[in-house]
Amino acid sequence: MPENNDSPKAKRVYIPLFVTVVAFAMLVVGIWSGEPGDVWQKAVSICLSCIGIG
Amino acid sequence: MERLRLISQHIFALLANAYWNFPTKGPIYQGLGKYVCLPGLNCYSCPAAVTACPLGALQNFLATIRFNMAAGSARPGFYVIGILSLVGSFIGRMPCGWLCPFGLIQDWLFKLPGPKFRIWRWLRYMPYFFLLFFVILLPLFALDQAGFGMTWFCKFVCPAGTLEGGIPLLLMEKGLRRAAGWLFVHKLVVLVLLLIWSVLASRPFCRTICPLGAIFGLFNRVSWLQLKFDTGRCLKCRACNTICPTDVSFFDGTDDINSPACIRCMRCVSACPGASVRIEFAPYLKSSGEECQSDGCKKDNTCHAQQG
Repeated sequence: MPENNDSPKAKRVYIPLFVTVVAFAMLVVGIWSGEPGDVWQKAVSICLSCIGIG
Repeated sequence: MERLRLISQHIFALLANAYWNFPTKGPIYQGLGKYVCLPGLNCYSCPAAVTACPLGALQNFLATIRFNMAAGSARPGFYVIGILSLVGSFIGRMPCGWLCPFGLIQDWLFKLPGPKFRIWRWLRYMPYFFLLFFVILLPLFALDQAGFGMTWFCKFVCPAGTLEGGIPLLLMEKGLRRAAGWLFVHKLVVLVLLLIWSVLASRPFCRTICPLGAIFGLFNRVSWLQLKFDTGRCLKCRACNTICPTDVSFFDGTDDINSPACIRCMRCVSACPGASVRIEFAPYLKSSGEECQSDGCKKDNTCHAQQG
């Protein structure tokens, strides 16, 4: 018998599924808006504040 | 399982710090790997680092997010949050136990002989304080004269930056040595105190400071990977609590087995003589006959079903 979508079990499936989908969507939006380039830009030069100088 | 975890920790630490040409080819790696944020604490200013630090990257996004300045950006760091959330949604805080290079350093130090102490339980909320103030609010709202924020956690707290980036770079670069002042001394003191604490207590940085662990911990109860505890099989021997590096106590109901404090090292799974702790991936998808449906399961993740 097919499971009722309103059952507690179905709701418990929705939560991790929702989190994964939202996370994936944020990743895609971030890549689409060019954020990996910003990450690279900062990561390839010495971060003076990280090492306690700047 | 513990041997597998140790191998994993060492492999990831080596992979994240695989640029050993720095003495001849320049003090810092500038290749494609730096587009990727490692889901662990590893300073991207470490001469050997080949990946970016998610905390440093996130703070940089928040410190420069300005909608009304030509030099500002309107990018809030969805890429970084997306990577961390995606990893967290599958395995929760498992990267802390299996991948994080700074976690590995703390594990090494705790194996040194000496007196061992517990850490006050209320301190486990401090990582949220550091996440909220030092990673999010201060970089966003504490602005300099030019109208930009700064990376507060990296600058004033992060011991990984001092250990993996600051000390090696100062040893290599004369110019940087001359520039080092009271801020470096402050960070050195923080590092030394933390390293001493790591000998005396298990994983003090992860448990009382790490904002990355705080982020991953938020996913422990909703991740696809779940730990299950069968109270019917529990012998109340405390083996799980004794061996737990973050002092999670689920056998007596004090903590949830998927507590945000759990770094998912899985040592309790191996240590339990009654096999009452098990790992499940996507337990939500199991048919009703396979999964415990008792009230205990729903409320505190304890399971009363007789399962093998």
